[in-house]
Amino acid sequence: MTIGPVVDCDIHNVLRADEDLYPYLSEGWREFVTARRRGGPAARPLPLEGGDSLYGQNPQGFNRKDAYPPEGGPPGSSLPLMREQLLDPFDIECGILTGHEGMAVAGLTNPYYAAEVARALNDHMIDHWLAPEPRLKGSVFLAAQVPESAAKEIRRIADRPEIAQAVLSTNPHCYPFGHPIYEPIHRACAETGLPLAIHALGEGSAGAVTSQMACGFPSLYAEFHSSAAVGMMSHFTSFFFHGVFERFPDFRLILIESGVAWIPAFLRRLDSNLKGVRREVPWCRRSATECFVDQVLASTQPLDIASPGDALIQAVEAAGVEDCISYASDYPHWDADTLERTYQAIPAGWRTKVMRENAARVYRVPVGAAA
Amino acid sequence: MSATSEGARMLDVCALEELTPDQVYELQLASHRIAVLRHGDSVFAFSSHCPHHGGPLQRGHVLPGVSSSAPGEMTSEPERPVVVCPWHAYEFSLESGAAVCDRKLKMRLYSAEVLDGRVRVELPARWGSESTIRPGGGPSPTRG
Repeated sequence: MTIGPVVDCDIHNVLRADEDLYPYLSEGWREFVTARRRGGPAARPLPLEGGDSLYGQNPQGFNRKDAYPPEGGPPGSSLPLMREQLLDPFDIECGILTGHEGMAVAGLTNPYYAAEVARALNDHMIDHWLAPEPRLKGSVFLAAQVPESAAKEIRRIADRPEIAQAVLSTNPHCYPFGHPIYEPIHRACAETGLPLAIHALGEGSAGAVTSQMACGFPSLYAEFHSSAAVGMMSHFTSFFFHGVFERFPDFRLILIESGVAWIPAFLRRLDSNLKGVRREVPWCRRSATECFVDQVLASTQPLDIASPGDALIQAVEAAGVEDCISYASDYPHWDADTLERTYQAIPAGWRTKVMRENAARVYRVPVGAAA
Repeated sequence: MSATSEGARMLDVCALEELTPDQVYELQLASHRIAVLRHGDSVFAFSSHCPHHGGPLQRGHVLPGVSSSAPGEMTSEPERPVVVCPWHAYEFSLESGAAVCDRKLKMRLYSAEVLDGRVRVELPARWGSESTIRPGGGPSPTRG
């Protein structure tokens, strides 16, 4: 079966060890991180992320068990293994790195330390992943505690051709990402032409002050992981009603790891509600569906469509959003979607678009037939 | 009463001064009911049946139009009034009849005018000529 070339919108690169990042920290911050080592033999340096309080409660972990590199380190830390397990067999011509520590950096309580770690992670990714592997593109990791600072980081590296997007995941503020408190990030993305991605489930990182479950905080990993789409509905709702799509017509939003089957029903609800609440938000000139079609891309994984005969497909097509969907593997996580399974589950008419064309258009990268 | 288009005629409804500005009135003719509104020195007449879910537009209220040039900015447009359905708050332009957020959805407008201080509405002749007009039961423009 020939599927490729493929754009994969969600590949997790991970540091082999925290120490790998130290050369990328300024001398002062390197001292800040490692000073505790001198406190005695049991003392450890400061962590680069606040912790995985919810992820840690999954007894199975959250990685594929065959993705541990033979040379050591966690899954996602080995470029050779990533090539062997993902890039080569899946014919990935463009793979978007979404990181691991970078998604959680917004959970650090110290905003200055967070900004330094985000910058260091971005530079480390450029040197150790993007330079040696031209099939990979990077995400700008953002210390969103201070949105103006995060916007500066976007503008620092947005012009590099190997950078594809900026990404938010852990939320350090009590408003969803469309709130005007994040306007500097929206503006920086719109003005530099970088799409802004939201990766679901950042709420699992320590330091997150929000829950992706609308009615309260999850207490089980099963609750947490199953409600990714709920959080994404909230984020999209805020982008829509706060008028981010109207303020920045060139802005592109990418929704990662929340599936696609929820989109038609939710857009219909927003479209219907707008007609009754429009007086509060007169800047919403287009419907939610129109904004989504014009300015949003959603990744497939975890794919909630079972086969080309699935009735959910009719709903997606009725909403007209099949051009807003793009393949993602989520390598190396346990819930990753294989290329063949995704390809076979979607209608034949979607396949070229979902596998490369839709993402190539949004990321503005030449891939296969879209070149 | 005077003849207009085929099957219709201008019905003399009441004196303009009998209508409180921006209060929606119910005009009843036999089994037919429409809504009548004075806005400034102009009059509007429209169906009492909301094209969304059938709400009673004669019980609606009138607001200035509102527009926005950017998120967070509000501009009141009293020269472009809307009637608001009491059921689902859909707003309809009194000029075009179109819903503000769904141009495909239109309330029916009837031609209305003020002539010599009298309010006249063009209605089907078969509806008869015996009419009554009273406040539609919606919010008062002064008391809310």
